[in-house]
Amino acid sequence: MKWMIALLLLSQIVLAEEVKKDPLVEKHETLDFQAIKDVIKNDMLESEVVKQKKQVATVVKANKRKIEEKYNIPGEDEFWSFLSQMWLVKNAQIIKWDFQKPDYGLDTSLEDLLEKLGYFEVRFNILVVNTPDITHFALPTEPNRYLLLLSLPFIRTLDLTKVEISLLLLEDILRAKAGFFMNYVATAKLRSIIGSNFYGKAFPKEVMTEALKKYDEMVFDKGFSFNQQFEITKQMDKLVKSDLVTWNAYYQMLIKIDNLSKSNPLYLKYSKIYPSPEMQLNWLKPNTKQNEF
Amino acid sequence: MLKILLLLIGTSVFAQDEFVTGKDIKLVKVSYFKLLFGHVHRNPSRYSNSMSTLSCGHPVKVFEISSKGSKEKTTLINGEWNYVQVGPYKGYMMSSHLTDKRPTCMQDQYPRFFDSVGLELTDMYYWGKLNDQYVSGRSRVR
Repeated sequence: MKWMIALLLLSQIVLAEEVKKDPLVEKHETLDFQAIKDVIKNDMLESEVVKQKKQVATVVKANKRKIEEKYNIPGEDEFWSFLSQMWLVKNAQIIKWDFQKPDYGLDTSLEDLLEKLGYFEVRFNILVVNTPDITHFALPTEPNRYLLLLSLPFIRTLDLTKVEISLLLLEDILRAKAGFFMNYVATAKLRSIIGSNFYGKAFPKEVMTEALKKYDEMVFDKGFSFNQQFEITKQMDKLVKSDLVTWNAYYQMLIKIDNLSKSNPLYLKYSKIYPSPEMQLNWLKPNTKQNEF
Repeated sequence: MLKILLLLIGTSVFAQDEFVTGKDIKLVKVSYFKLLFGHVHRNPSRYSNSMSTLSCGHPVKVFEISSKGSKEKTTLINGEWNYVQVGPYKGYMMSSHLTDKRPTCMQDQYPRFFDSVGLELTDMYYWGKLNDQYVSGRSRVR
């Protein structure tokens, strides 16, 4: 009996070894990845994973874009208005615009003149300053909007009428339209940052500082060229010639400015900034040899 | 950030003047300040003292004023001023500086640019004053 049991155990061990070694059994025991893959494919799980990966990538991309957008620099439409106002704010003590003044009705008189000449939907902000250092100027802003500086001491000294002041401001509007000031300030470096993005880079503060310095140069020192003045004077001439009263007011205003710039030491620099009232008067005179620049 | 900027400029919290004293005051709406920076004035005048400086998008409570017992109500004082409350400050703001819908503000559109240009508190105060000083106009087809 003992022998029988031992023999049976031995035979079972041998059989078990044989089963282990059987390649067919081995094959069935191995994981069939291809089969699982097929199951996943049939369950649309694979496409779901791709879809989810895409969604995650989109969200990550959108978040990155959102962060990057925070580093945007305003485009032309907003940048110039911001820069000009920043210049006014940073130079408030020099330009002296923060003071109490009477309402001269300049808004309505300029509106009337613009409408009379056919300039519609023109928006403007006039800032009256209390210094003779800036007589009148149009700072760069967004299209069809003008930021006009006007010196109270200047208009008081000249005793200008509302029409004359409006004509002076119209000249400035034409200069701004021609982009003289903007072109002077807009160096290649400045143009390259307007509407750009500085994500991952240092903010180009020195370019902004340089631009503000150019404002100083233009307003206090450089002004406009003879060519630019000629162009503007001729444009003014064409615009107001049909209305002799207005043309005459313009001419009389230039005479007043010419006299002032020659006689009052406070305004001797005027002819350097706006060269020159005397030349403008010559350009306006009809049929003379000096009528061409 | 800048939106919550509130500078204390004046000494008094409430404006007490002829326009509101002894009158019925009723909150009619919440508007938003739409310019870059601006001021709550003590009186309805662009030259009056500033009680507080605020930046674009700041909510402003606008009040309606009427004489006691009178049916005539108005939100406009001197044709262009609203009686408002901003935080604890009651004063005046130009109605043309307010909008009923939340405005698109430069500070929100270009936050990093705005933070980097180096505007100081004094600059913000002056910027608000600048908006008060403008004589604005627009030519129209009539």
